[in-house]
Amino acid sequence: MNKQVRTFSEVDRVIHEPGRLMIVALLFAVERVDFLYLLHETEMNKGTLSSHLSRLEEAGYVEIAKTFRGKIPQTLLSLTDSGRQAFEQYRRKLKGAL
Amino acid sequence: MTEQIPGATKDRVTDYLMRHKRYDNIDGTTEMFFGMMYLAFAINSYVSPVLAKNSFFHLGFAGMLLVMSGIVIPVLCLGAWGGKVVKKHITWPRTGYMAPRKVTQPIAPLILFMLGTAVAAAGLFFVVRYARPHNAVMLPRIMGIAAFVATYAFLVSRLSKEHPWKRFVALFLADSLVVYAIARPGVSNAEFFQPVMIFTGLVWLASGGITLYLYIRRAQPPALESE
Repeated sequence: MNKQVRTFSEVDRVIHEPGRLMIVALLFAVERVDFLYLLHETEMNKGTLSSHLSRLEEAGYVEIAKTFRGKIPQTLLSLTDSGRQAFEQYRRKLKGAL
Repeated sequence: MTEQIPGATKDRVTDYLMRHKRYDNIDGTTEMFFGMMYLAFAINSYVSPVLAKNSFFHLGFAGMLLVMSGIVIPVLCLGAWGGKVVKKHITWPRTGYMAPRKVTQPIAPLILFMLGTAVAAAGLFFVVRYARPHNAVMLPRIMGIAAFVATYAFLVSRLSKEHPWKRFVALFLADSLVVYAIARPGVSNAEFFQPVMIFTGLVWLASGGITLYLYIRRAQPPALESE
């Protein structure tokens, strides 16, 4: 098998999906954000964003915390250490493949 | 290999990684802070000469620091506090909360920048010291105006891709300062730079204020059940 194709086949499928890649890249650059920020930056609808976040949480890449800002509920999101490592590895593989 | 990988190109990933920097100035608070900074230094330069000649405010470097801590630092604190208030009550409820990552910057670029600035300052000092009288007056002014305009152009080009009108503001700032420099040749550098700093500060403040106004008009707070 061609080396480039093999590298592509080895990339993390959880992160490789375009919507989730966007979320992980946005989270990688920050400490913590809320759901509204991701909704605004990704321009996804709430359902799609929620399902991507659930998938990332299942994989252990994203930490989700439910809190309150005054009386308003707020969902805070951050990338876990393994999420950071997975994204860095994904970037390295992508760079090598391209 | 011709396989398309939508959303996975390096350019797009780089764009996602830079979004938080643009988001930081989505409400114009960075520009308004810079405006406050210019105004603080302008006020400082107006106040210093009118203080009593024999007071301890004129005791060299320590006196200068004292005046600065009485004027510049409070104004900067006010600017920082104002920015936080805007974020808390306007930006976060509309487009979300974002806490930037605290990254320890590598020290080498900072040292290089400081060395570069020191070399440039020393070079300018010698050029001014040994230049003909006319050039000695004009050089600091040209460099000052260039630095003021370049700072605005650099920051808005990086932080505000969605506001093309800011290019015209940069042009307006450059034109106005050049016209002012040509129209007012016979004053000392200190007298020359006082109105320049006030004008530059007001332009930054106006630019930030317009950005905030446009942001408020465009972004409405979502309904409470959004999460």
